[in-house]
Amino acid sequence: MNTVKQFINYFNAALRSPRHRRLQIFPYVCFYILLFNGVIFATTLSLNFYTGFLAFIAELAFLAAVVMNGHHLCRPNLVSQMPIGTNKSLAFRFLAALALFVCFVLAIFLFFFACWAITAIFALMVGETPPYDFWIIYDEFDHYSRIGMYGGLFSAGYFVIMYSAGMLSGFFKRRAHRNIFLACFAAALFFILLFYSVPHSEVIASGSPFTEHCFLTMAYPEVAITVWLVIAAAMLGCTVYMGVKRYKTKY
Amino acid sequence: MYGLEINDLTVDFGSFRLDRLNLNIRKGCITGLIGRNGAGKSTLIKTIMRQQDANEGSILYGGLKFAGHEAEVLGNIACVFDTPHFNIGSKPKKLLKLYRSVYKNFDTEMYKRLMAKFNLPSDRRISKFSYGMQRKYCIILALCRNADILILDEPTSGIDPFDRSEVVGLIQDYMMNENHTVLFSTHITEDLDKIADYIVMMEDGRITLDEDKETLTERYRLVQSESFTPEMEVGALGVQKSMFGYTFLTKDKNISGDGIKVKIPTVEEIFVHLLGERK
Amino acid sequence: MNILISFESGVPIYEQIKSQLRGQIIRGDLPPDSMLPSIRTLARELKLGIVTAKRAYDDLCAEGYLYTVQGKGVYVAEFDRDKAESFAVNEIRARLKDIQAFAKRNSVGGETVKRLIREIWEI
Repeated sequence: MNTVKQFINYFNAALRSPRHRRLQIFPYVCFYILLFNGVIFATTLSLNFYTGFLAFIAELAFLAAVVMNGHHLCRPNLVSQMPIGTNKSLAFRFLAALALFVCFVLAIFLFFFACWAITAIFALMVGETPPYDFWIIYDEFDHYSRIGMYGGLFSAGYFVIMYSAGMLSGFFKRRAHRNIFLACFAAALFFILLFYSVPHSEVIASGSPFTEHCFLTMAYPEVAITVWLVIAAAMLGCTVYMGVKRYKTKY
Repeated sequence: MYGLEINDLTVDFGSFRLDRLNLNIRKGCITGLIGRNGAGKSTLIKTIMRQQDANEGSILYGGLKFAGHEAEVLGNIACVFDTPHFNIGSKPKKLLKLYRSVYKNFDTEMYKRLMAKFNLPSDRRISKFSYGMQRKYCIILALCRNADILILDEPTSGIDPFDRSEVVGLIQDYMMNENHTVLFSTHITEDLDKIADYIVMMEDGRITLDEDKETLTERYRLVQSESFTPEMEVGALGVQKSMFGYTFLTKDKNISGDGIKVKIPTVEEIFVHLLGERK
Repeated sequence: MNILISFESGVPIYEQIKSQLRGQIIRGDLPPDSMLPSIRTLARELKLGIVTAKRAYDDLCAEGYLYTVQGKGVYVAEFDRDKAESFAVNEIRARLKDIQAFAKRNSVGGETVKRLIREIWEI
């Protein structure tokens, strides 16, 4: 209970830490976000909206991680003055980004819910039944957009990668290095998604890697998903390593 | 007993370094840190507050190592940094809430009293405060934490003389408790002259002077003289020549003669003349 | 108890505190066994460093004007007249030496000085 309270304080303090210059230049971050979004929608253009939405949620994780770890860039900050042990503060550092991500997702869902509710109210006002049920979306999956096990694993990996990349960008001390990292990351992601979307026998972009369909057309889907998960684990490991290396008390 | 023990501290920035710094801050006393811009005062304070990694060396906080005692140490040191270490877009009442839940010893009564005393509004964003008001707010937050060690980086810069003397009084109130220790850096040596017990002078990342103020000011004499004789030249430090005569620092306490005015120098005069001598 | 301090006088601060306290003790303004403010209070009220205040008290303790009760505070000591007088005599001698030096520098003879002292004394 005490730890939960401490974490809430930590989260609060992180949000009340001074903004780093980079966070004031928010357009930069938005640029990256748009770039990623562009990549995602380019690779999922032949498909429905929902798999793109998964990618979008993962981008929120990226944004949350950038914002959260960005707060730590600016020193002195409130968070580094919190009287808690190093291990705890390291764990909180990673959890705070996730907490912010959850806040983002909740906000997005509330926004969508509000949109739907307003539409429903208007529909009722004109005397019709609401145009659609909130859950109908789920039933409309055909086999091209079914996520399945492979799509789910890919989404999880994608989420971890986006989150780790956001956190990693916060460990660069120089803006130039950080921008190079993010540019390379964006390029790598683009090509990965492109190649994942290329089934071995058919034409480009016939399947989004967020769906089972994409993997089922591959000769070795297990290998593809394993490689993907290994990349995700490596990036997460790298993030943890960087955090420990940078912020663990040494003397 | 020392409040802070700094041993062989080395911080390397490439272009600038703190070089094997050894410094003991005495418990129950006020230590003033002086030095020119870029001498490493802020770097030292940031390193003590763990806002800056050290390459080598160790710091003990009231006998405790930081590693393994992070919570105790950070709970017992309050610091006013050269810039606010919180988002100045916040409002004081929100920060008060946060401080109260984070720091167990936080004195809300005192906080409210001081906010009223310095006329600081609780529901305006701190970014809308003037620079002096922001400084005062930072000092209030740090003081109300009731920590054992208080570190202030240029606390009185940008504050008008009236409030400055109030701030100096607050620091002295804080020192009424014998377990409290203060380290502060300043350019306004007038404050030091009054309340500091020990003076530490930094130059190019090294400590060139660490002494109690009385001994320091008494060791030297400031001489104003119409002429500059060879006998004077022997012990003269940082000679300044003007149209009407010479001003210098000397260790010779019995210096006297015609057309000579001798007085005990202030910290500022020692600082200026010693630095003038180095050049 | 009154203490006035000047930062410009060229006399060390703790010396100023000492001589003023001593004067008040000798004159009897501060009766024996009366309690003095603590070091920290003295420093706070006079806007001085703690070490400065401590030094003044310590010196007066060493000279026998004050005594400390561990954990309680600083008190004015019982003192004998002879000691106070011998102190005053020493002080006057030191000041007269200053005057002598000044007189020599300005080539004023000893006789003139003596005459001056007599003059002042009679008024």
